[in-house]
Amino acid sequence: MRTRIKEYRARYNLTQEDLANLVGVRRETIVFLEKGKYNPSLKLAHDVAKALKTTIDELFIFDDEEGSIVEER
Amino acid sequence: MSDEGRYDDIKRKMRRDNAIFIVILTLSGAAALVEYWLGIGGPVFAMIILFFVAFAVVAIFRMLMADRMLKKIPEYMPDERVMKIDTYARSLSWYVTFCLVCLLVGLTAFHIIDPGAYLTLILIFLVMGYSWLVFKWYYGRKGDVQ
Repeated sequence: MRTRIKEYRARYNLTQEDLANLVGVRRETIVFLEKGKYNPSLKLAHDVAKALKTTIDELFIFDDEEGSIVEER
Repeated sequence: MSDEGRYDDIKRKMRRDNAIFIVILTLSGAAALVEYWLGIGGPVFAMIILFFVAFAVVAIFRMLMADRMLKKIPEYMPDERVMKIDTYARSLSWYVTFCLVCLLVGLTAFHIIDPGAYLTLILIFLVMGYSWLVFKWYYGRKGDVQ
């Protein structure tokens, strides 16, 4: 799994600490989310997407999803 | 006192409590093993009881106070990742202890060793406590339990 959290965070000029405070988690959780090492709950994914004014499917990219998008095209 | 100073104070207290927790776990286990191997009763036995009581007091205090203290510090707040890792570490710790008990039952049944009830309890006490801490540390560094 890959995420675009870092990209969106930069867009809104937010630090990891700011985003962590917005969604109510530890900064380490945001670090592991950005690295794609942590698989979040649906609620956390929703909260992060909401904080970054986007949708869950825009923010989280799964490896098999990338393949299917290419096939569809 | 400023918010930052108060948070630092709470963090210091929590670190101290964690250190006490680990020291008591180690000392009570070590004392129990020494008592078992050397067969010394009396003062050593009293010391073990004292350690176990102190361990229980610290554990109960941590349970009652941890949530209240943690809520004051965002960086120590138990979020879903931390709780998931803690739950997983406890499950694995239980599983490791269960495997140990199975092994001891097998070894005792075939008369290979005869650990006795006291040594078995000490082993369970140490394995359960330490495996929980080790799994928590490992998955905390890894990021997730998968």
